[in-house]
Amino acid sequence: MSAAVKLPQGDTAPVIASDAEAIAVATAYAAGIAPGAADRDRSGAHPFAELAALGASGLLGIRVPRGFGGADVSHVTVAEVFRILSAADPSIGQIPQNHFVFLEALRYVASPEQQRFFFAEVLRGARFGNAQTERGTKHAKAINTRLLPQPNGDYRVSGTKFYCTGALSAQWIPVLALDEHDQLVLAYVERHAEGVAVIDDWNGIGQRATASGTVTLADVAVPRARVVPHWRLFESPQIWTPIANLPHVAIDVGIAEAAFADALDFLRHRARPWYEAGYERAVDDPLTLERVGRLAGRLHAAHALLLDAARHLDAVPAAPDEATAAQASLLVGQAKAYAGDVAVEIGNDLFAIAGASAADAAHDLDRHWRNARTHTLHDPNRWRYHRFGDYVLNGRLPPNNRAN
Amino acid sequence: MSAAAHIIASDAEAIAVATALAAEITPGADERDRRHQHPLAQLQALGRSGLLGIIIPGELGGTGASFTTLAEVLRLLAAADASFAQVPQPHYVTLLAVLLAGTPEQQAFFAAEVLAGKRFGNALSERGTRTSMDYRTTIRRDPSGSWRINGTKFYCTGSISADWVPTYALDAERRLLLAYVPRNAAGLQVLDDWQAIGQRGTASGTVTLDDVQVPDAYVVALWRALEGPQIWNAFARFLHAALDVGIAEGALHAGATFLRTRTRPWSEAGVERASDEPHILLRYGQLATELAAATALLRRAGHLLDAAWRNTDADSAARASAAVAEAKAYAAETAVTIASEIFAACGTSAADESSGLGRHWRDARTHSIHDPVRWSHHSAGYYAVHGTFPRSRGHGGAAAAR
Repeated sequence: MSAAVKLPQGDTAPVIASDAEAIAVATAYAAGIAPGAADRDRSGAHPFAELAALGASGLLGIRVPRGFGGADVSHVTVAEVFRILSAADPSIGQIPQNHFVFLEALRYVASPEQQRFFFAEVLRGARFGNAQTERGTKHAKAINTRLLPQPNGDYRVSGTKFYCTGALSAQWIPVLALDEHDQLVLAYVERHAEGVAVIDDWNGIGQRATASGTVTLADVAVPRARVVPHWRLFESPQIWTPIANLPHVAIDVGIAEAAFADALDFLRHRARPWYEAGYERAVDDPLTLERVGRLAGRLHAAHALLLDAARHLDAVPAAPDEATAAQASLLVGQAKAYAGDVAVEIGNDLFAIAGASAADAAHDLDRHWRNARTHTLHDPNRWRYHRFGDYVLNGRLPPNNRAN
Repeated sequence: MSAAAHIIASDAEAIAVATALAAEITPGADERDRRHQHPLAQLQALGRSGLLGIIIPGELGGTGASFTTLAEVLRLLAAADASFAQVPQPHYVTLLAVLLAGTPEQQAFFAAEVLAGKRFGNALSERGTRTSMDYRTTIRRDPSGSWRINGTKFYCTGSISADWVPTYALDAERRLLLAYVPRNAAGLQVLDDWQAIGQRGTASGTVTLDDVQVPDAYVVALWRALEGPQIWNAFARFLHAALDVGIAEGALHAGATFLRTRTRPWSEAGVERASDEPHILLRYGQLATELAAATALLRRAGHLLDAAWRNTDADSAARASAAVAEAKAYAAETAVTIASEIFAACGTSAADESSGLGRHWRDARTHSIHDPVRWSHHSAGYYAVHGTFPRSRGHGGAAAAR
C-alpha cells in the first residue's frame, strides 16, 4: 500500500492510553472550542484549525484496537467524548462521527494489511470524512455510484455524493459504491486524489460548520488494496450500525445539555422577573423553576438512555447472535429518538425560560434549536419508535442493515 | 405473622425472590381490585420471603442490599399488583428511620423484628390540618414515665395488617417523634375506611390513638436526624417513584396483551392485526420509550441515593434529592400517561370493566398524587438553578417524609 497522507499539523499525534485520558483530553479540547461556537455558527465557515487541533489531540485514535497500538476505549467513553464535544460545538462534534464509523468498519471487514495501514494513519491523527449518500435517488439509502474494474485489477470511480460531513478537511474519504458484483463496498480515497472535488455547498439552517455538502468523483483511481467489502458486515448479526448511530445520540444529548446550560445562565444573569410573580429575581419564579425541573429530568433521562445503550454495546460478544445484536439496535435507536426529541424541546424551551431578551440575535441562542432540528433529521425518529413498538408488541426484531 | 422468615443473602437473590413473588401475585390482582380486597395472604408471603429486611445492614443480620435494588424489588411487585406493592413502602421508610435515628438498642431490636418477618405500617399523615405536613397528634410523658399518644391519622397504608404502627407525634416542645406502636396496643384502632378510586387494596384509611402507652424503647427522636443534611425524605419519594415505574410497566404490558389478543384492526389500516398498524406501533414505541426513560431516571436516582447514604453531606444529599425529584415526577407522569394511552391503542372494548385495564389508570392516578408532581419538578429546577435543595423539602428543615 502507498505512503501515508500528509497531515495539516506535523505528522504525529499523541497516542491516548486510556478511557480516563480520552475523557480528560476531550474535556480540555471542548473548553478550547466552546467560546468560538457562536461565531462559527454565524459565519458557517468550516473549522479547519479546530479540526487540525482535534487530529493533534489524539482523540481520533481512541477506538484503534490495542493490538494496533490504540487504547480501544469503551463505547461508553466514545459516547461521552461525543457528548462533551457536542455540548461545546455540535458541528465539530458531528464531524468525527463518520470518522469513527469508518474506523469501526475496518475492525470487522478489512484485511490485516488494510487494518495495519489505516490504524497507523488514524493514530497519526488522520481523519476519515465520508461520501455515502446521494441526492435524488429513490430513497436515502439507494446509491448509483459504481467501482469500474481496470485491467490491472484496480478500480476507477465516478459519481456525485451529498451530506458528505467533514470530507472537506478530512485526509481520507470513504466512498460508498457498488462493485462489479453489485456488492456494497467502501473505497477509502485520499481527499486530495486526482479527480476528487469537495464543494462547500452545505447551506443547512443548523450544524452550519459541518460542511455536509457535495463530493464529486471524476474517474478517480482506487487501488484494490483500499477497497473494503462493506457488504460482509451484514452477512451475520452485527452491531456496526448501532455503533455508528451511538454518536448521533451523544450529539443530541450534547446539544440539549448546551441549550439547558445557556438557559440557566441567561436566567441567572440576564432575565428579569415577571412583574406579576412578586419576586425580586427571575430565578425565584416558581413557574420557571417547575419548567426547568421538568427539562432537567428529560435531559438526565436522555443521558441515562445513552449510557444504557453504550453499556449494552460494550457487553455484546464479538460474534453476537441475532437477538443480542437486534437488542443493541433497538436500545440505540430508542435512545436516539428520545435524545432527538429532548434536544429539540430544550432548544425551543430555552427561550420560554430565558425570556424576550434572549431572542436578540446577538446571543445566537437560536443555534441550539437550529442545530438540534437539523441534526435530528439524520434519519426519521418516528421509525425508531416504530421499530421499538414492533419489538414490544410483536417481539419483531429490526432487520440487519445499514439503518438498524 | 409468621416468625420464620427467610434471610436473603444478596442483592441478586432479592431480585430473584421479588421476581418469583411478583409472578405469584399477578393472577389475582384484578380480582382483588374489584373486591377492594386487602392482600392479606400475599402480605404474609411477603413477610416470609425475607424481602422486608433487605436494607438492614449485614452487621444487624440483614442483607445490606442497596436502595437501587430495593427500588427494583418494588418496581417488580408494583408491575404485578400496585396496591400490594405500596403496602411495604411505609415499612421501608420507617425501617430506615430506625437505622438513621434509632439508638443502637432500638436498631438491634427492630432489625430482629423485621428479620423475623414483622412489618411496619404507618400513622403519619392527618386530615384537616392547614397543610399535609402539619400534625396535631401529641406525645406526652405520663406519671409512670411512659409516653402517651393521642390523635387521629389517615392515609395509614398497610397498618391494618402490620405488626407495628410507626406514628408521628409532636412532643411538648413541638418536636417530631416517631413512636413505634404495637399493632395490638390498647387504645390503637385501625379502621378499614379507605374508599379510593385506585390503590384499593392498600387499606390506607384511619388510625385512632386514644391515650396509647409506649415505652422509651419504642420512641425515636426523628427530629434530630432531620436537622442536618439527610436523604430520608428523598428515600421515601424514591420508593414512590419505583412504584409508579412499576405501575407504568404493568399498564404497558397489560395493554400489549390486550392489543395482541383482543383489539381488532381499524378498517382503514389494511392490516390483519391491530398490533401491525403503523400508528399503533409508533405510539407504543413512544410509550415504551417513556417507560425506559422513567426506569433510567429511577436507577440514576438510586445510584446517587446509595452514594449519599454511604457519605451524607449537604452536596451529596442535595444531588440525590434532586435526582429523586426528577425520577418521581417523571415516573408519576409516565404512569398516568401510559395507563391512559393504552386505551387509545386498545380501542373501545378495552373500556369494558371485564378487561381489567382500568385498574392501571386508577392506581396510577391515585398513587401519583401522593405528593404534587409540580413541586417535584419545582425542587429539581431549584437545584438546577441554585445548586442546593429547598429547605422546605426537608433539608435542615422540618418537613418529614411519608
